[in-house]
Amino acid sequence: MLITNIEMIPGRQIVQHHGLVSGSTVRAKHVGRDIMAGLKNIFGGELKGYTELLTESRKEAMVRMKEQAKQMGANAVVNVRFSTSSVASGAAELYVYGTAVTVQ
Amino acid sequence: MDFIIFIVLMILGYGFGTWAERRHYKSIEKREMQYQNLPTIALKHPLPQPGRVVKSQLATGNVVISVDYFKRFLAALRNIFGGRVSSYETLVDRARREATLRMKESCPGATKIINIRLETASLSKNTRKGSIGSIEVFAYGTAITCK
Amino acid sequence: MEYSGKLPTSNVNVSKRSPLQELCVLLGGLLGLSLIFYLCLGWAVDYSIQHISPEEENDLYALMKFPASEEGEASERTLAVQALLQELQKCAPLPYQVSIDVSESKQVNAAAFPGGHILIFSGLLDQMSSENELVFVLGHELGHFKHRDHLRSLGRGLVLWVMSLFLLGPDNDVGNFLFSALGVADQTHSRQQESAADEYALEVLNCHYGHVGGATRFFEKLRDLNQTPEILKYYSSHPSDQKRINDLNALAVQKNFRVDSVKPWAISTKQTTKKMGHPKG
Repeated sequence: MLITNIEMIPGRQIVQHHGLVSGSTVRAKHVGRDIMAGLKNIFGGELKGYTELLTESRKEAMVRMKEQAKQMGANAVVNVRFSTSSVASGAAELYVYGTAVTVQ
Repeated sequence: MDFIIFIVLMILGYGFGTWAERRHYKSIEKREMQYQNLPTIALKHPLPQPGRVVKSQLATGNVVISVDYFKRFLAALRNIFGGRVSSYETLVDRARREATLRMKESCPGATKIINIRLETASLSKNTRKGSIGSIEVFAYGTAITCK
Repeated sequence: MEYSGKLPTSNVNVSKRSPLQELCVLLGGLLGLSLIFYLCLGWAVDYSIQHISPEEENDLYALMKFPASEEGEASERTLAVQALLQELQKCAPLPYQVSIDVSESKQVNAAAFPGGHILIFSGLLDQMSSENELVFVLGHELGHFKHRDHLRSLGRGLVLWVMSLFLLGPDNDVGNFLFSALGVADQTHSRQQESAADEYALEVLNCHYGHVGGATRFFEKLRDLNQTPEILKYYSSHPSDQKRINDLNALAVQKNFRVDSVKPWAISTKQTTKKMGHPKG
Protein backbone atom coordinates (compact mmCIF):
# COMPACT_ATOMS: atom_id res chain seq x y z
CA MET A 1 0.00 0.00 0.00
CA LEU A 2 1.42 3.35 -1.06
CA ILE A 3 1.32 6.24 1.35
CA THR A 4 2.19 9.84 0.58
CA ASN A 5 1.44 13.16 2.14
CA ILE A 6 1.01 15.03 -1.14
CA GLU A 7 -2.19 14.99 -3.12
CA MET A 8 -1.07 12.42 -5.66
CA ILE A 9 1.32 9.56 -6.15
CA PRO A 10 4.16 10.85 -8.30
CA GLY A 11 4.34 8.98 -11.54
CA ARG A 12 0.97 7.31 -11.13
CA GLN A 13 -2.58 8.18 -12.04
CA ILE A 14 -5.46 8.26 -9.60
CA VAL A 15 -8.48 6.52 -11.08
CA GLN A 16 -10.80 6.21 -8.13
CA HIS A 17 -11.10 7.62 -4.65
CA HIS A 18 -12.74 6.04 -1.68
CA GLY A 19 -13.08 8.82 0.87
CA LEU A 20 -11.47 9.47 4.22
CA VAL A 21 -9.68 6.72 6.09
CA SER A 22 -8.12 7.02 9.47
CA GLY A 23 -6.34 5.06 12.13
CA SER A 24 -5.92 5.97 15.74
CA THR A 25 -4.44 4.50 18.85
CA VAL A 26 -4.26 5.59 22.46
CA ARG A 27 -1.11 4.63 24.27
CA ALA A 28 -0.07 5.02 27.85
CA LYS A 29 3.45 4.94 29.14
CA HIS A 30 4.50 2.58 31.88
CA VAL A 31 6.20 3.34 35.16
CA GLY A 32 9.71 2.48 34.02
CA ARG A 33 9.64 5.07 31.28
CA ASP A 34 8.19 7.55 33.71
CA ILE A 35 11.09 7.18 36.12
CA MET A 36 13.62 7.73 33.35
CA ALA A 37 11.65 10.74 32.25
CA GLY A 38 11.73 12.06 35.78
CA LEU A 39 15.52 11.84 35.86
CA LYS A 40 15.86 13.33 32.43
CA ASN A 41 13.71 16.22 33.54
CA ILE A 42 16.60 17.23 35.74
CA PHE A 43 19.48 16.43 33.44
CA GLY A 44 17.94 17.14 30.06
CA GLY A 45 18.50 15.19 26.87
CA GLU A 46 16.57 12.84 24.67
CA LEU A 47 13.94 10.57 26.15
CA LYS A 48 14.55 7.45 24.10
CA GLY A 49 11.80 5.50 25.82
CA TYR A 50 9.18 8.01 24.87
CA THR A 51 10.52 8.31 21.35
CA GLU A 52 10.17 4.58 20.84
CA LEU A 53 6.74 4.60 22.41
CA LEU A 54 5.48 7.26 20.08
CA THR A 55 7.13 5.72 17.01
CA GLU A 56 5.45 2.41 17.68
CA SER A 57 2.13 4.09 18.29
CA ARG A 58 2.29 5.92 15.00
CA LYS A 59 3.23 2.75 13.21
CA GLU A 60 0.25 1.00 14.72
CA ALA A 61 -2.07 3.86 13.78
CA MET A 62 -0.77 3.73 10.22
CA VAL A 63 -1.32 -0.03 10.08
CA ARG A 64 -4.92 0.50 11.14
CA MET A 65 -5.39 3.15 8.50
CA LYS A 66 -3.92 0.92 5.80
CA GLU A 67 -6.18 -1.89 6.95
CA GLN A 68 -9.21 0.35 6.63
CA ALA A 69 -8.11 1.49 3.17
CA LYS A 70 -7.66 -2.10 2.06
CA GLN A 71 -11.11 -2.97 3.28
CA MET A 72 -12.45 -0.16 1.15
CA GLY A 73 -10.69 -1.56 -1.88
CA ALA A 74 -8.02 1.11 -2.24
CA ASN A 75 -4.37 0.55 -3.00
CA ALA A 76 -2.95 3.90 -1.88
CA VAL A 77 -3.58 6.64 0.66
CA VAL A 78 -2.74 10.20 -0.26
CA ASN A 79 -2.63 13.50 1.61
CA VAL A 80 -1.89 11.84 4.91
CA ARG A 81 -1.91 14.01 8.02
CA PHE A 82 -1.06 13.25 11.63
CA SER A 83 -2.46 14.60 14.86
CA THR A 84 -1.50 14.09 18.48
CA SER A 85 -3.57 14.93 21.51
CA SER A 86 -3.30 14.00 25.13
CA VAL A 87 -6.51 12.49 26.41
CA ALA A 88 -5.57 11.70 29.99
CA SER A 89 -2.52 12.38 32.05
CA GLY A 90 0.08 9.97 30.79
CA ALA A 91 -1.85 8.82 27.73
CA ALA A 92 -1.72 10.27 24.23
CA GLU A 93 -3.95 9.62 21.27
CA LEU A 94 -2.29 9.42 17.86
CA TYR A 95 -4.48 9.96 14.88
CA VAL A 96 -3.58 9.48 11.20
CA TYR A 97 -5.96 10.31 8.39
CA GLY A 98 -5.84 10.52 4.62
CA THR A 99 -7.76 9.99 1.41
CA ALA A 100 -7.92 6.41 0.15
CA VAL A 101 -7.52 6.11 -3.63
CA THR A 102 -6.93 3.54 -6.31
CA VAL A 103 -3.98 4.26 -8.57
CA GLN A 104 -2.60 2.60 -11.64
CA MET B 1 17.20 21.57 53.46
CA ASP B 2 14.92 22.21 50.50
CA PHE B 3 17.21 25.02 49.53
CA ILE B 4 20.26 22.79 49.33
CA ILE B 5 18.39 20.26 47.20
CA PHE B 6 17.33 23.05 44.90
CA ILE B 7 20.88 24.33 44.45
CA VAL B 8 22.17 20.82 43.76
CA LEU B 9 19.46 20.20 41.16
CA MET B 10 20.23 23.49 39.47
CA ILE B 11 23.91 22.72 39.22
CA LEU B 12 23.25 19.21 37.96
CA GLY B 13 20.73 20.47 35.46
CA TYR B 14 22.99 23.17 34.15
CA GLY B 15 26.06 20.95 33.95
CA PHE B 16 24.52 17.92 32.32
CA GLY B 17 22.11 19.94 30.24
CA THR B 18 24.79 22.10 28.66
CA TRP B 19 27.02 19.11 28.00
CA ALA B 20 24.23 17.09 26.38
CA GLU B 21 23.16 20.08 24.33
CA ARG B 22 26.63 20.75 22.98
CA ARG B 23 27.13 17.11 22.09
CA HIS B 24 23.78 16.99 20.37
CA TYR B 25 24.46 20.10 18.32
CA LYS B 26 27.78 18.70 17.14
CA SER B 27 26.06 15.55 15.97
CA ILE B 28 23.31 17.55 14.28
CA GLU B 29 25.74 19.75 12.40
CA LYS B 30 27.75 16.79 11.24
CA ARG B 31 24.73 14.98 9.90
CA GLU B 32 23.28 18.07 8.28
CA MET B 33 26.50 18.41 6.36
CA GLN B 34 26.10 14.84 5.18
CA TYR B 35 22.55 15.36 4.02
CA GLN B 36 22.85 18.77 2.51
CA ASN B 37 22.53 17.34 -0.97
CA LEU B 38 19.12 15.88 -0.31
CA PRO B 39 16.56 18.56 -1.20
CA THR B 40 13.91 18.84 1.44
CA ILE B 41 11.15 21.25 0.64
CA ALA B 42 7.75 22.20 1.90
CA LEU B 43 6.21 22.52 -1.53
CA LYS B 44 3.51 20.08 -2.53
CA HIS B 45 4.42 19.57 -6.14
CA PRO B 46 7.67 17.91 -7.04
CA LEU B 47 9.69 20.42 -9.01
CA PRO B 48 10.67 19.11 -12.37
CA GLN B 49 13.79 17.04 -12.35
CA PRO B 50 15.40 14.80 -14.93
CA GLY B 51 14.40 11.19 -14.65
CA ARG B 52 11.32 9.19 -13.97
CA VAL B 53 9.79 8.66 -10.55
CA VAL B 54 10.57 5.16 -9.45
CA LYS B 55 9.45 5.05 -5.84
CA SER B 56 7.60 7.26 -3.45
CA GLN B 57 7.09 6.62 0.22
CA LEU B 58 6.18 8.44 3.40
CA ALA B 59 9.31 9.38 5.30
CA THR B 60 8.96 10.05 9.02
CA GLY B 61 11.21 10.98 11.90
CA ASN B 62 10.46 11.84 15.48
CA VAL B 63 12.26 12.70 18.65
CA VAL B 64 11.33 13.49 22.25
CA ILE B 65 13.65 15.84 24.11
CA SER B 66 13.30 16.97 27.67
CA VAL B 67 14.42 20.15 29.40
CA ASP B 68 16.69 20.10 32.38
CA TYR B 69 15.89 21.63 35.78
CA PHE B 70 17.92 24.76 35.16
CA LYS B 71 16.04 25.62 31.97
CA ARG B 72 12.70 25.02 33.61
CA PHE B 73 13.51 27.33 36.48
CA LEU B 74 14.64 30.03 34.06
CA ALA B 75 11.40 29.66 32.14
CA ALA B 76 9.39 29.94 35.35
CA LEU B 77 11.23 33.19 36.17
CA ARG B 78 10.42 34.46 32.69
CA ASN B 79 6.81 33.64 33.40
CA ILE B 80 6.85 36.33 36.06
CA PHE B 81 8.68 39.03 34.16
CA GLY B 82 7.68 38.26 30.58
CA GLY B 83 9.87 38.35 27.50
CA ARG B 84 11.63 35.85 25.33
CA VAL B 85 12.14 32.46 26.95
CA SER B 86 15.60 31.84 25.56
CA SER B 87 16.12 28.64 27.51
CA TYR B 88 13.47 26.82 25.53
CA GLU B 89 14.66 28.14 22.17
CA THR B 90 17.52 25.69 21.98
CA LEU B 91 15.18 22.88 22.98
CA VAL B 92 12.74 23.30 20.11
CA ASP B 93 15.52 24.06 17.67
CA ARG B 94 17.36 20.86 18.50
CA ALA B 95 14.23 18.78 18.42
CA ARG B 96 13.15 20.13 15.04
CA ARG B 97 16.49 19.62 13.40
CA GLU B 98 16.88 16.16 14.87
CA ALA B 99 13.43 15.12 13.68
CA THR B 100 14.11 16.31 10.10
CA LEU B 101 17.44 14.52 10.10
CA ARG B 102 15.79 11.31 11.21
CA MET B 103 13.23 11.74 8.50
CA LYS B 104 16.02 12.03 5.95
CA GLU B 105 17.67 8.97 7.40
CA SER B 106 14.50 6.93 7.15
CA CYS B 107 14.49 6.91 3.35
CA PRO B 108 17.91 5.88 2.10
CA GLY B 109 18.46 6.40 -1.58
CA ALA B 110 15.74 9.03 -2.00
CA THR B 111 16.27 11.83 -4.46
CA LYS B 112 14.22 14.43 -2.68
CA ILE B 113 11.65 14.87 0.04
CA ILE B 114 8.66 17.11 -0.58
CA ASN B 115 5.78 18.48 1.43
CA ILE B 116 7.50 18.17 4.77
CA ARG B 117 5.32 18.99 7.76
CA LEU B 118 6.34 19.32 11.37
CA GLU B 119 4.10 18.53 14.31
CA THR B 120 5.09 19.59 17.78
CA ALA B 121 3.46 18.24 20.92
CA SER B 122 4.38 18.97 24.49
CA LEU B 123 4.46 16.11 26.94
CA SER B 124 4.47 17.25 30.51
CA LYS B 125 5.48 14.85 33.20
CA ASN B 126 2.94 16.08 35.69
CA THR B 127 -0.07 18.05 34.58
CA ARG B 128 1.23 21.30 35.98
CA LYS B 129 0.02 24.27 34.14
CA GLY B 130 2.70 26.44 32.65
CA SER B 131 5.46 23.87 32.90
CA ILE B 132 6.80 21.85 30.01
CA GLY B 133 8.49 18.57 30.75
CA SER B 134 9.47 17.52 27.26
CA ILE B 135 8.45 18.10 23.70
CA GLU B 136 8.02 15.76 20.81
CA VAL B 137 8.63 16.86 17.26
CA PHE B 138 7.40 14.69 14.43
CA ALA B 139 8.51 15.39 10.87
CA TYR B 140 6.97 13.69 7.84
CA GLY B 141 7.13 14.13 4.13
CA THR B 142 6.99 12.24 0.86
CA ALA B 143 10.33 10.83 -0.28
CA ILE B 144 10.67 10.47 -4.00
CA THR B 145 13.28 8.39 -5.75
CA CYS B 146 14.02 9.28 -9.35
CA LYS B 147 16.10 7.44 -11.86
CA MET C 1 15.62 23.05 -11.87
CA GLU C 2 18.93 23.35 -10.16
CA TYR C 3 19.24 22.64 -6.46
CA SER C 4 22.03 24.28 -4.58
CA GLY C 5 22.33 22.88 -1.10
CA LYS C 6 24.02 25.26 1.28
CA LEU C 7 23.78 25.23 5.03
CA PRO C 8 23.19 28.46 6.96
CA THR C 9 26.32 29.81 8.64
CA SER C 10 24.81 30.63 11.99
CA ASN C 11 21.88 29.42 14.02
CA VAL C 12 19.32 32.22 13.97
CA ASN C 13 16.82 30.44 16.17
CA VAL C 14 18.69 30.73 19.45
CA SER C 15 19.58 33.71 21.61
CA LYS C 16 23.18 34.75 21.98
CA ARG C 17 22.81 35.64 25.65
CA SER C 18 24.38 33.26 28.14
CA PRO C 19 21.78 31.49 30.30
CA LEU C 20 23.81 32.10 33.46
CA GLN C 21 23.78 35.82 32.90
CA GLU C 22 20.04 35.70 32.35
CA LEU C 23 19.59 33.70 35.54
CA CYS C 24 21.56 36.26 37.56
CA VAL C 25 19.58 39.17 36.20
CA LEU C 26 16.16 37.59 36.70
CA LEU C 27 16.95 36.06 40.06
CA GLY C 28 18.47 39.29 41.29
CA GLY C 29 15.35 41.18 40.31
CA LEU C 30 13.09 38.64 41.93
CA LEU C 31 15.05 38.49 45.19
CA GLY C 32 15.21 42.28 45.33
CA LEU C 33 11.46 42.54 45.00
CA SER C 34 10.91 39.77 47.53
CA LEU C 35 13.21 41.46 50.03
CA ILE C 36 11.30 44.72 49.78
CA PHE C 37 8.03 42.88 50.14
CA TYR C 38 9.32 40.89 53.12
CA LEU C 39 10.46 44.03 54.94
CA CYS C 40 7.11 45.69 54.31
CA LEU C 41 5.45 42.57 55.64
CA GLY C 42 7.38 42.87 58.90
CA TRP C 43 6.33 46.48 59.37
CA ALA C 44 2.74 45.83 58.40
CA VAL C 45 2.37 42.93 60.84
CA ASP C 46 3.97 44.90 63.66
CA TYR C 47 1.63 47.78 62.97
CA SER C 48 -1.55 45.74 62.85
CA ILE C 49 -0.69 43.79 66.00
CA GLN C 50 -1.07 46.97 67.98
CA HIS C 51 -4.66 47.16 66.84
CA ILE C 52 -5.64 43.67 67.92
CA SER C 53 -6.57 43.46 71.56
CA PRO C 54 -5.58 40.43 73.63
CA GLU C 55 -9.23 39.50 74.00
CA GLU C 56 -9.64 39.26 70.26
CA GLU C 57 -6.42 37.30 70.09
CA ASN C 58 -7.70 34.80 72.63
CA ASP C 59 -10.95 34.41 70.74
CA LEU C 60 -8.91 33.46 67.71
CA TYR C 61 -6.95 30.87 69.63
CA ALA C 62 -10.12 29.37 71.06
CA LEU C 63 -10.78 28.16 67.53
CA MET C 64 -7.55 26.16 67.47
CA LYS C 65 -6.77 23.04 69.43
CA PHE C 66 -3.63 22.69 71.48
CA PRO C 67 -2.02 19.69 73.17
CA ALA C 68 -2.69 19.19 76.85
CA SER C 69 -0.85 16.94 79.23
CA GLU C 70 -2.30 13.66 80.42
CA GLU C 71 -5.47 13.78 82.43
CA GLY C 72 -5.54 12.76 86.02
CA GLU C 73 -4.53 14.14 89.33
CA ALA C 74 -1.80 16.70 89.12
CA SER C 75 1.37 15.53 90.80
CA GLU C 76 3.02 17.36 93.66
CA ARG C 77 5.53 18.79 91.25
CA THR C 78 2.90 20.07 88.87
CA LEU C 79 1.10 21.85 91.68
CA ALA C 80 4.37 23.42 92.82
CA VAL C 81 5.14 24.68 89.33
CA GLN C 82 1.63 26.07 88.94
CA ALA C 83 1.92 27.91 92.24
CA LEU C 84 5.26 29.36 91.14
CA LEU C 85 3.70 30.59 87.93
CA GLN C 86 0.91 32.33 89.79
CA GLU C 87 3.56 34.11 91.87
CA LEU C 88 5.40 35.20 88.78
CA GLN C 89 2.32 36.86 87.33
CA LYS C 90 2.98 39.70 89.77
CA CYS C 91 6.25 40.37 88.01
CA ALA C 92 4.92 39.61 84.52
CA PRO C 93 1.47 41.11 84.28
CA LEU C 94 -0.62 39.85 81.39
CA PRO C 95 -4.21 40.80 80.57
CA TYR C 96 -5.32 37.17 80.72
CA GLN C 97 -4.83 34.08 82.83
CA VAL C 98 -1.83 31.89 82.20
CA SER C 99 -1.86 28.17 82.99
CA ILE C 100 0.84 25.52 82.95
CA ASP C 101 0.81 21.78 82.45
CA VAL C 102 3.60 19.29 83.01
CA SER C 103 4.00 16.51 80.49
CA GLU C 104 5.84 13.33 81.44
CA SER C 105 8.53 13.01 78.83
CA LYS C 106 12.31 12.74 78.63
CA GLN C 107 12.39 15.81 76.37
CA VAL C 108 14.25 18.78 77.76
CA ASN C 109 11.90 21.43 76.49
CA ALA C 110 9.15 23.86 77.31
CA ALA C 111 6.67 25.44 74.94
CA ALA C 112 4.30 28.36 75.03
CA PHE C 113 1.03 27.83 73.19
CA PRO C 114 -1.30 30.59 72.10
CA GLY C 115 -3.98 31.47 74.62
CA GLY C 116 -1.76 31.54 77.67
CA HIS C 117 -0.97 27.84 77.97
CA ILE C 118 2.53 26.71 78.83
CA LEU C 119 3.58 23.10 78.48
CA ILE C 120 6.70 22.02 80.26
CA PHE C 121 8.27 18.57 79.95
CA SER C 122 9.37 16.63 83.00
CA GLY C 123 12.74 16.06 81.32
CA LEU C 124 13.41 19.75 81.67
CA LEU C 125 12.25 19.83 85.30
CA ASP C 126 14.65 16.98 86.06
CA GLN C 127 17.52 19.13 84.81
CA MET C 128 16.69 21.95 87.22
CA SER C 129 19.09 22.28 90.08
CA SER C 130 17.76 25.60 91.38
CA GLU C 131 14.45 27.41 91.49
CA ASN C 132 16.03 30.38 89.72
CA GLU C 133 16.56 28.36 86.55
CA LEU C 134 12.91 27.35 86.47
CA VAL C 135 11.83 30.94 87.00
CA PHE C 136 14.01 31.95 84.06
CA VAL C 137 12.38 29.36 81.79
CA LEU C 138 8.89 30.37 82.88
CA GLY C 139 9.81 34.02 82.40
CA HIS C 140 11.01 33.23 78.87
CA GLU C 141 7.67 31.66 77.96
CA LEU C 142 5.81 34.55 79.54
CA GLY C 143 7.95 36.82 77.39
CA HIS C 144 6.54 35.16 74.28
CA PHE C 145 3.05 35.93 75.46
CA LYS C 146 3.93 39.51 76.36
CA HIS C 147 5.47 40.24 72.96
CA ARG C 148 2.58 38.44 71.23
CA ASP C 149 5.02 36.35 69.26
CA HIS C 150 2.44 33.78 68.25
CA LEU C 151 0.22 36.29 66.58
CA ARG C 152 3.20 37.78 64.83
CA SER C 153 4.41 34.48 63.44
CA LEU C 154 0.90 33.50 62.46
CA GLY C 155 0.35 36.76 60.64
CA ARG C 156 3.65 36.62 58.79
CA GLY C 157 3.28 33.02 57.77
CA LEU C 158 -0.24 33.47 56.56
CA VAL C 159 0.47 36.56 54.50
CA LEU C 160 3.60 35.03 52.96
CA TRP C 161 1.76 31.89 51.98
CA VAL C 162 -1.27 33.65 50.58
CA MET C 163 0.83 36.09 48.56
CA SER C 164 2.96 33.37 47.04
CA LEU C 165 -0.14 31.35 46.21
CA PHE C 166 -1.85 34.34 44.71
CA LEU C 167 1.01 35.63 42.62
CA LEU C 168 2.59 32.46 41.40
CA GLY C 169 -0.01 29.77 41.63
CA PRO C 170 0.26 26.47 43.47
CA ASP C 171 2.97 23.99 42.59
CA ASN C 172 5.14 26.57 40.90
CA ASP C 173 8.90 25.91 40.87
CA VAL C 174 9.72 29.51 41.60
CA GLY C 175 7.06 29.77 44.26
CA ASN C 176 8.46 26.82 46.17
CA PHE C 177 11.98 28.19 45.86
CA LEU C 178 10.93 31.60 47.17
CA PHE C 179 9.01 30.05 50.02
CA SER C 180 11.97 27.97 51.20
CA ALA C 181 14.39 30.89 50.75
CA LEU C 182 12.13 33.15 52.78
CA GLY C 183 11.74 30.36 55.32
CA VAL C 184 15.48 30.51 55.92
CA ALA C 185 15.28 34.29 56.31
CA ASP C 186 12.37 33.96 58.70
CA GLN C 187 14.50 31.91 61.08
CA THR C 188 16.45 35.10 61.73
CA HIS C 189 13.23 36.73 62.83
CA SER C 190 12.44 33.75 65.03
CA ARG C 191 15.85 34.03 66.69
CA GLN C 192 15.22 37.72 67.39
CA GLN C 193 11.98 36.76 69.08
CA GLU C 194 13.81 34.22 71.22
CA SER C 195 16.46 36.75 72.26
CA ALA C 196 13.75 39.24 73.19
CA ALA C 197 12.06 36.57 75.29
CA ASP C 198 15.38 35.85 77.02
CA GLU C 199 15.74 39.52 77.87
CA TYR C 200 12.23 39.58 79.32
CA ALA C 201 13.00 36.48 81.37
CA LEU C 202 16.03 38.23 82.86
CA GLU C 203 13.81 41.13 83.91
CA VAL C 204 11.31 38.74 85.52
CA LEU C 205 14.11 36.96 87.35
CA ASN C 206 15.40 40.24 88.71
CA CYS C 207 11.92 41.32 89.75
CA HIS C 208 11.18 38.06 91.56
CA TYR C 209 14.45 37.57 93.43
CA GLY C 210 16.16 40.94 93.24
CA HIS C 211 19.13 39.38 91.47
CA VAL C 212 19.85 37.32 88.36
CA GLY C 213 21.96 34.50 89.71
CA GLY C 214 21.40 31.19 87.96
CA ALA C 215 20.08 32.64 84.69
CA THR C 216 22.76 31.15 82.50
CA ARG C 217 23.27 27.94 84.42
CA PHE C 218 20.64 26.05 82.53
CA PHE C 219 22.11 27.02 79.15
CA GLU C 220 25.55 26.06 80.31
CA LYS C 221 24.20 22.61 81.10
CA LEU C 222 22.48 22.37 77.74
CA ARG C 223 25.56 23.53 75.93
CA ASP C 224 27.65 20.84 77.51
CA LEU C 225 25.03 18.20 76.75
CA ASN C 226 24.50 19.11 73.10
CA GLN C 227 27.37 19.15 70.72
CA THR C 228 25.66 20.82 67.74
CA PRO C 229 28.31 22.52 65.61
CA GLU C 230 28.18 26.28 65.28
CA ILE C 231 27.63 26.19 61.52
CA LEU C 232 24.13 24.86 61.81
CA LYS C 233 23.06 27.78 63.93
CA TYR C 234 21.93 29.70 60.88
CA TYR C 235 19.17 27.18 60.28
CA SER C 236 18.06 26.94 63.85
CA SER C 237 15.04 28.79 65.14
CA HIS C 238 16.79 29.46 68.44
CA PRO C 239 20.13 31.17 68.95
CA SER C 240 22.90 28.79 69.98
CA ASP C 241 23.32 28.08 73.69
CA GLN C 242 26.68 29.84 73.86
CA LYS C 243 25.27 32.93 72.23
CA ARG C 244 22.38 33.01 74.68
CA ILE C 245 24.81 32.75 77.59
CA ASN C 246 26.96 35.57 76.19
CA ASP C 247 23.95 37.79 75.52
CA LEU C 248 22.51 37.23 78.98
CA ASN C 249 25.80 38.06 80.65
CA ALA C 250 26.13 41.22 78.56
CA LEU C 251 22.56 42.24 79.40
CA ALA C 252 23.10 41.70 83.12
CA VAL C 253 26.10 44.00 83.01
CA GLN C 254 24.31 46.57 80.89
CA LYS C 255 21.27 46.74 83.19
CA ASN C 256 23.35 46.60 86.34
CA PHE C 257 21.69 43.50 87.72
CA ARG C 258 23.06 41.94 90.83
CA VAL C 259 24.16 38.31 90.92
CA ASP C 260 23.57 36.36 94.09
CA SER C 261 23.38 32.77 95.26
CA VAL C 262 20.59 30.63 93.87
CA LYS C 263 17.69 28.98 95.62
CA PRO C 264 17.59 25.19 95.44
CA TRP C 265 14.68 23.48 93.71
CA ALA C 266 13.53 20.84 96.09
CA ILE C 267 10.60 19.33 94.28
CA SER C 268 11.03 16.06 92.41
CA THR C 269 8.62 13.24 91.68
CA LYS C 270 9.94 11.19 94.58
CA GLN C 271 9.91 13.85 97.27
CA THR C 272 6.72 15.25 98.62
CA THR C 273 8.05 18.10 100.73
CA LYS C 274 6.07 21.26 100.40
CA LYS C 275 9.23 23.30 100.47
CA MET C 276 8.07 26.16 98.25
CA GLY C 277 9.64 29.32 99.55
CA HIS C 278 8.09 32.68 98.92
CA PRO C 279 10.04 35.32 97.08
CA LYS C 280 12.14 37.58 99.16
CA GLY C 281 13.11 41.00 98.07
